[in-house]
Amino acid sequence: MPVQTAPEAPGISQQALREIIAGFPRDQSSLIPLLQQVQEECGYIPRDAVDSVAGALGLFPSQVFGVITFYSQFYTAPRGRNVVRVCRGTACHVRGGKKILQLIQNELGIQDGETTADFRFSLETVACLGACALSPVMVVNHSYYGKMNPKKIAAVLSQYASR
Amino acid sequence: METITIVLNGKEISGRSGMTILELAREAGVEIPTLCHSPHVAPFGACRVCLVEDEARHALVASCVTPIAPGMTIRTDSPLVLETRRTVVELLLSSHPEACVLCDKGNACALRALAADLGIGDIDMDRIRRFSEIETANAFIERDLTKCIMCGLCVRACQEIQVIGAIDFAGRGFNARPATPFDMPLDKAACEYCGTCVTLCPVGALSEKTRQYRGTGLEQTPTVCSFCGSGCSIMLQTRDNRVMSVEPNEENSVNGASLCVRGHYGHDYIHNPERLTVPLIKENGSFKQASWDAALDLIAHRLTQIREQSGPDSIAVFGSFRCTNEENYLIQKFARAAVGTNNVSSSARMSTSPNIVGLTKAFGYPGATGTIADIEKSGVILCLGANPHESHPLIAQKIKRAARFHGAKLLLADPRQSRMTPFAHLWLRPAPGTDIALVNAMLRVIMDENLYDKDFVRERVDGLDKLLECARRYPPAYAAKVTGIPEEQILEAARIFAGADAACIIYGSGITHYPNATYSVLAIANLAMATGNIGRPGVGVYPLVKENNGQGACDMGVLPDYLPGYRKVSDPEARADLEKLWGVAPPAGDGLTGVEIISQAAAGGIRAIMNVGANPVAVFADSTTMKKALESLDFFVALDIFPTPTTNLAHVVLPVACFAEKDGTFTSAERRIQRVRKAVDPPGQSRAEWQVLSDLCRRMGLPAEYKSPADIMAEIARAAPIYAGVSYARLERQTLHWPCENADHAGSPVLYEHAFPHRDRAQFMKVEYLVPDEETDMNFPFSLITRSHLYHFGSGARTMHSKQLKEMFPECFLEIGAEDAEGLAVADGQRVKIVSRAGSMELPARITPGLPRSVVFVPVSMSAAEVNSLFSTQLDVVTRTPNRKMCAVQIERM
Ligand code: SF4
Ligand code: SF4
Ligand code: SF4
Ligand code: FES
Ligand code: FES
Repeated sequence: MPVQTAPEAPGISQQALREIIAGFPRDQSSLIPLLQQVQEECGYIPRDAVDSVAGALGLFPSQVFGVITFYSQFYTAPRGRNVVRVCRGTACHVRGGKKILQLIQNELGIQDGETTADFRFSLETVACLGACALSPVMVVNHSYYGKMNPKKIAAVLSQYASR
Repeated sequence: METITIVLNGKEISGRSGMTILELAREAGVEIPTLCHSPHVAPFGACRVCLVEDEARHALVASCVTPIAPGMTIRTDSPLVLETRRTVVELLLSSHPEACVLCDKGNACALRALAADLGIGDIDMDRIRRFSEIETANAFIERDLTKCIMCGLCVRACQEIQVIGAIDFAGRGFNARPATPFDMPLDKAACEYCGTCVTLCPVGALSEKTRQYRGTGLEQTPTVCSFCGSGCSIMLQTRDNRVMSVEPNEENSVNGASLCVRGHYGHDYIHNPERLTVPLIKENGSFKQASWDAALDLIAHRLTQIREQSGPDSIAVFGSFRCTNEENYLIQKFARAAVGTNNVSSSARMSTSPNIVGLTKAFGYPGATGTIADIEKSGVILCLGANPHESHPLIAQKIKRAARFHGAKLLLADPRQSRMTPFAHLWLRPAPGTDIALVNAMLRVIMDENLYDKDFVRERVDGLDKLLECARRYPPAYAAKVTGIPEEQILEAARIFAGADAACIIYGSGITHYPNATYSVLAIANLAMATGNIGRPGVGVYPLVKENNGQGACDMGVLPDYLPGYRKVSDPEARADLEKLWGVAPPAGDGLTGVEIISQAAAGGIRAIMNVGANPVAVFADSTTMKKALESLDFFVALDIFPTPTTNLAHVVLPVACFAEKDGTFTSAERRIQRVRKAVDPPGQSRAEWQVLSDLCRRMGLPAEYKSPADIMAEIARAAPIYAGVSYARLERQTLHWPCENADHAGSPVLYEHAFPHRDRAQFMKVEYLVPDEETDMNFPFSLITRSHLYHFGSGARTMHSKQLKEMFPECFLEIGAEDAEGLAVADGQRVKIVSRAGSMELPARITPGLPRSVVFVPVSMSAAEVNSLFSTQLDVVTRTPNRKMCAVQIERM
C-alpha cells in the first residue's frame, strides 16, 4: 500500500507500549488483540512495537510481522490520525459514490490508500459499509456520514481538520 | 509401542504408531518425492508432491503428514498419483523463472530433478511471473525469491532448528513470501548467516554467495568442523583438490542439518594464498626456504645439542587444539620419550585445566558429564560465564530449543545482554568474576531450605560437611552485595534449580579464565551434586571447551602433570605402563605449565621450544613479555598453517596440513571422538604434523613407525585407558564418547550413571571466593572483559584468513554502553585508546545496548595479540593458568 512517509511519522513511546503490553496475558493468544490496541493507539504498527510485542509474547519479530501482513486490518506504515473510508459498494455507486470519492481525493490531495503529508488523513475505500440505506456513505474513524453530497464533504472533513 | 500394518504397493509392511506414510515408505526403501519435507523440522504438508493414493478410501493424501493407520492400502505410483504429481509440479513450474542455466543450485535442485523424473519439459500453462529483487547485500547468502516455491523449509530451519527466527512467512495469497520483519535485508534482521535455510532450500531461491554458477563439488568427505568444541559433523565438497563448499553432515552427527556461520562459511581459510608452503630457516634475521631434510636435521641436531648441554628440561614443547588426537599424542610422546621432559603444554590447558582439576576432584573425569543433545532434556538450565551463542552456537541452539519448545527454564547469569537473554526465564546480572558467590549462595539457600537431594547425597557423595561449611559463608544478602544481583533473584534461582526434575549447568570462559577458576568449577560441581543432578540424561555439568580439539589435546596428555588419559605423571604405575609401551620411561617430576615455560624462557632456564601449532604470542596474557621471552630462546621451532606473530619469532618454521588435509580424530566438548578425514592435499610442500613428528622422533633416536594415524590410535588405545576401546574400524561406523573401556564397550555418553570412578563416590569440595585482584580504581575505572565472537575464533589466525568472515567483521572493536560513551564524549565508531596496567591498544568504539555501567567488552579473536597485551599474568591459584578474562582499563579519546 503506497504511503507517503514523512520524517515526523507518528510513533509510540516505549512507556506507552509497556503499558499496553501489561494489559494482556503473556501468551500467544494475546497477539491479535495486542496489535489491535497498538494500532488503535498510533494508527499503525511501528517496528519498535513489533520487537516489544514479540519479546513479551515469546515470539520472533518475523512471526509478528507475518501476522501483521496476513491480516488486512493491520498497517506497517504510519497512517493518518483520521482514517476516511469511502464506500464503493453497489448502492453507493448508483447514488454517486464515485463522485464523492473523487471530490474527497481532490479535497485531501491524496489517492485511495495514501496518507497526507501532515499525517492528518488517510484515505481508503471499502466494498460496502453496511449502511446502504444511507448511501452514499463515508466513515471517518468510527463515525458514519450518510447521504453525502459535495457540500457535506467539506463540512465533515473540516470537523477533523484540527485533530 | 503399538505396531500398525498397512499395505504399501501391494506388500504388507509394519510400522510404529505415529509414523507417517512417508517415514514408513522410506524405511522400506520405497521412494516418494518431497519438496517441503525434512526430517529435522515439523511436517508442513504444503507442496503436495508427496501425494499417495489410499486405495481403500480412494483418496489422495500427503504422505509426509498422514500417519499410518490400520487397514491402509497405499499406492505410491498409481496413475492417479503420477498424474496429480505431474500437475502439481507443472503448477510450480508455471510460476518459476526459466533460469536453470543460471541457477547455482544446479543438479542439487529438487524441483528440477522432479520435473526430469516426471518427464516434464515445456509446460503449456500460462506463466505467472513473480517479481522480486535478488538480495545480495550480505557476504554469505543470496536470496532470489522469484524461485521460491513456498515450501517453508527456510522458515522452519530458522525458527525450529536454529531458534533464530529471522524469517517467517509474510503477506498472503500471491504476495506471500518468506520475509524478515519489514522485509529488511538479512544483514539488518536477526540473521546470523548459519546457512541452515540455504542447506534446506530445495530450489535455487537461497544460495551461497561464493558458489556463483561454478557448480557444486564432485566429491564429499565427511569430517569435523575445525572451530569450536561443539564438534559439528561437516561434509567437505571438493573438486579438483579444492574445497568448494561445506555442508552439514546429517548422519550420526550432533548437529543434524545445521551449522553456524563459522563452520558453514569460514572454512575458506583452507585455500587462502597466505598459507605456509615451504620449510623456512632463519638466517641472519630473515627467513630462507629450505628442504624438509635440512630443516628436520637442524631441529634434531639443535635439540640434541641443547639437551646435552643443559639437560632435557631446558626444552619445552607446545601442542595445539588445532592438531588431531594422534598428533597431540605424538607431541607429548616426542617431549617425554624423544626429548625426555614433561615440559609439554598447550593453550587448551589454560582454558581447561581448572576443569581437569575441579571436575576430576569432584567426580572423577575431566569432561562434560552428558551429551550436547541431552541439553534439550533439561528442565532447568543454569548458564554461567558463557555466551554460547557466540562461542558454541550449536550448544546455544540446544539451550534455546529447550527453552522455547520444551518448556525448560533458563537461568542466565550474564552481565551483558545478548541474543540468549530473550530466552531467559530469569536473567541474573552478576558483576564480572563473581559467579562463584552466586553459586555458593544458591547452595546456601538450597541447604537452608532443605531442598537438597538427600537420597542422592547420602548414597553417592562424601564430604557434606565441606559443603555446609562453604554454604554457611554465603548468605544470599552477602552474595547480593558481592554480585550485585538482587537477593530475591538469588533465592528464586536457587528454588527453581532445586525444584527441577532435571537440571544442568553450562559454563564457559567467564568461569575458567578467571584467577579463581578452579574454585568456581568446584562450586558448580557442588551445586550439581547437592541437587542430585548427576548421572542421567539432561542433568550434569557442561564445561564449554572452546576449541574443536581442546578436549582431545588434554586427553592425550599434552599437559605437564598428566600422561595420556589423565593418568598422573606422579603415578609410578602409569609411568611404568608407558615405559612398557614406549621402550623409554617418561620422566618422573611434573613439567612446567605454559606460563612457567615462558617465564623460564625469559629467565634462561628454558633454552628451546618446539611449538606445534600453538600461537602463544596471540593467546597468552601479556603478549609483550611473551614476545621478549621467545626472542631470547636459543632455538625456537614453530609448525603452523599460517604465518603468525609467533612463527615470525621462530628459527625454523615448518608448513603443516590443516584439518582438511589429513586423517585423524578430534574429541569434542561432549567427550565425543570423531573421525577427521583428508579431503584435499596440503598446499605446496606442507605435511601433516603426525608425519613431521614421527620423522623427528626417528631422527632423535625414538622408533616411530606409523603408517597412518590409525596406527597411532592403536597405540593411544593402549596408553590411555579411557580410549582403550577406540579404533579406526569402529570410528568408521560410529562416534564414541570416552571412557570407552574395550572393543565391546559402547562408550559413555552419560557419565556416572551408576558409579564414580574413585571409590564409587563423588566428593563435595571446599571452595574459596577470591576477589579478582584486577580491581578498578581512579586511574583504571573500567572493567574490560574479553568475549567470544560468532564470526571469529581462537587467535583469529584462521577466521581472519576467511574472506567472508573477514568481510563481515574486518576489525576488532570495543563495546561500550551509551552512558559510558557519553561520559567520555565518544561517538559510535570513533577510535579510542584503551590503557591497562600492562599495555595499551587502539580500536574503534561501538555503542552497544544492554551493557552494565563501567564494563566494556572486546571480542578477542580479531586482534588477539593486542588484546592479550592488556593483561598481566595473574594466575589461577590452583592450576597456575592465567587470567585472560577481565582487566581494569582507562579509555581515552583519540
Ligand atoms: S542464515 Fe540462519 S539465521 Fe539467517 S535466515 Fe537462514 S536460518 Fe535464519
Ligand atoms: S526460499 Fe527456499 S526454503 Fe524458503 S520457502 Fe522458498 S523455496 Fe522454500
Ligand atoms: S557450532 Fe562450532 S563446531 Fe558447529 S559449525 Fe559452528 S564452529 Fe563449527
Ligand atoms: S453500498 Fe455503500 S454502504 Fe452498502
Ligand atoms: S513433502 Fe509432503 S506436502 Fe510437501
